[in-house]
Amino acid sequence: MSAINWDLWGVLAGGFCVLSIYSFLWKENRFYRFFEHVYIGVATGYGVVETISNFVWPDWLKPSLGLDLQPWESYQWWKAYLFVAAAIGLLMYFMLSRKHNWIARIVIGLGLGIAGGMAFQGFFGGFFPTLVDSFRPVVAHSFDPATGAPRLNWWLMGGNVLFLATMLCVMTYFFFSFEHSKPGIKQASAMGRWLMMVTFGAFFGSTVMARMALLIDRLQFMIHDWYRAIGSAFGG
Amino acid sequence: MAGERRSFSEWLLAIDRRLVYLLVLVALAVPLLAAEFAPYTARKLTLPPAPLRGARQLFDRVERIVNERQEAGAAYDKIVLISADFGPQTRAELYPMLECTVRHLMMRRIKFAIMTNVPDGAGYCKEVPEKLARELGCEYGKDWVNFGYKPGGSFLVRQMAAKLPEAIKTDYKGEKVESLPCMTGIKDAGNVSLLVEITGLVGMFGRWPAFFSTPTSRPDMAHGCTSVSIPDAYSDLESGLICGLFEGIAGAAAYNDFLEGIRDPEKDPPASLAARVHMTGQTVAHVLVIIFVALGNAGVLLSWWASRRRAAGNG
Repeated sequence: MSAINWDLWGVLAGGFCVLSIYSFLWKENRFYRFFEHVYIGVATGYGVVETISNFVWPDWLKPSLGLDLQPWESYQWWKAYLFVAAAIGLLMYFMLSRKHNWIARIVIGLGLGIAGGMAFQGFFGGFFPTLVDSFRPVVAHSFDPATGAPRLNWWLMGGNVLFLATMLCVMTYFFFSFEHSKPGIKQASAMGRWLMMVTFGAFFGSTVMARMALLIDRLQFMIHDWYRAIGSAFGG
Repeated sequence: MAGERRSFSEWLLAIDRRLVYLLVLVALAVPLLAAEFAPYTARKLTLPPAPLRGARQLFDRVERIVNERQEAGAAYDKIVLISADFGPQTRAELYPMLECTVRHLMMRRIKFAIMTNVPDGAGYCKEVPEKLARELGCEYGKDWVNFGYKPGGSFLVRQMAAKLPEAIKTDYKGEKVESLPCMTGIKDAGNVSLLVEITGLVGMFGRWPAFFSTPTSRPDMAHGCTSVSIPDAYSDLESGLICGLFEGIAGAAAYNDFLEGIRDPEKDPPASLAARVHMTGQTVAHVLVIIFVALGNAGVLLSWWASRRRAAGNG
């Protein structure tokens, strides 16, 4: 008796799952509902196994228990600190107890404090280059490649003026500390709203593209893998 | 009312959505079917990608690494770090990006490390380099290293910036990363020449510019994003926060074209056609959506015009 080809049956089952999920486009049905739950369960299970096999075991349990030592190495007791860190993390589960859930707040507070501190660094590292770039000259020069003499770069100037006008209009829209009825403010705010609409249009267009990509991937799977798997399983 | 004849505008506004789905399905399936059953015809019929600026900048940055390595000689102690933070949900767009980045690095024999911060990405981190290593003759541990799935988010990135091997500890096989030849001399973020983050998840990329730097240096960074995130990512590219950008699947298709330009036909196998085929299907479907949007708006306008005419006639 030949061994079961698990890869083949995996692909066949995958194709059936895809069809069941996409059956939602026709109408809501039990197949779709069932496989939606299957997907969530599989994704969660996969995440747990990956975390244990790729992190908890090699990076935490093995070193803390000294299982990664070579025959000539001796256990270093300071590595037991890994258990202290884990014990602090496990305090989070006290949130399931009504009486002792205050203990979980210690861990939450610790996490919030660390996240707050990191947010400062995160802001400067992540947003400063963009912030600095927003200070753009409205009179910009470029250099003639032949002579090296400076000359006005009208394209760059136009782009910078458009950028600054857009930024000021959109910022005006989000100033809620005064009424937007005054002349100048009203028009700038309205323009800011329109400019954001243009951006949302760009977002919509790119979102459509991304959604198409999801379907393309599944179609690729159905045409390339599933079709061949059906041929192998039933066509001989 | 039964038996009453509908006007054209009414018909336009009452098109069954399932018909729209069917047409989109056909538009996307035809290029894939052609690529499967008539690959030579498909190669001719696929649309050429635009030479996108973000993808070009990333390609040029990788090429500059070759020069930097030559100039530094034996003292060169830097790697490229790829963070492939995606799963099956965004595989269609992001997998070709990972593939062409790894292909380029392997073609130029640039050492790199690959890792993921999401459990679903672990399979791709293993599959893509191993597949391309067989084609291009690269060796695990010497040419690349796979850190596997590493949870920890921003904390891990912060640790990696200061002490990379200590933060990562082991590769996906459980071996200590310090023991791998590829990681010789790699200490912190200063030893990373380029970081490529390929993700469709919000906030994933932001951790790298925020935390992955030493007091004296910050690696160049590039972003491979899904189409949804392109408008956001452009501001990073414009401001110089990133040195390159994969503009969705089109970015990967363009990158493959650039790779074709440096490929040695006798040594290197051709890049995958997948990105180009996917992009063709996506473009056709996009045009279809534009037509539907135009038809829908035409239906609304015609209906409004007809109601105005009826109102004028009654008046």
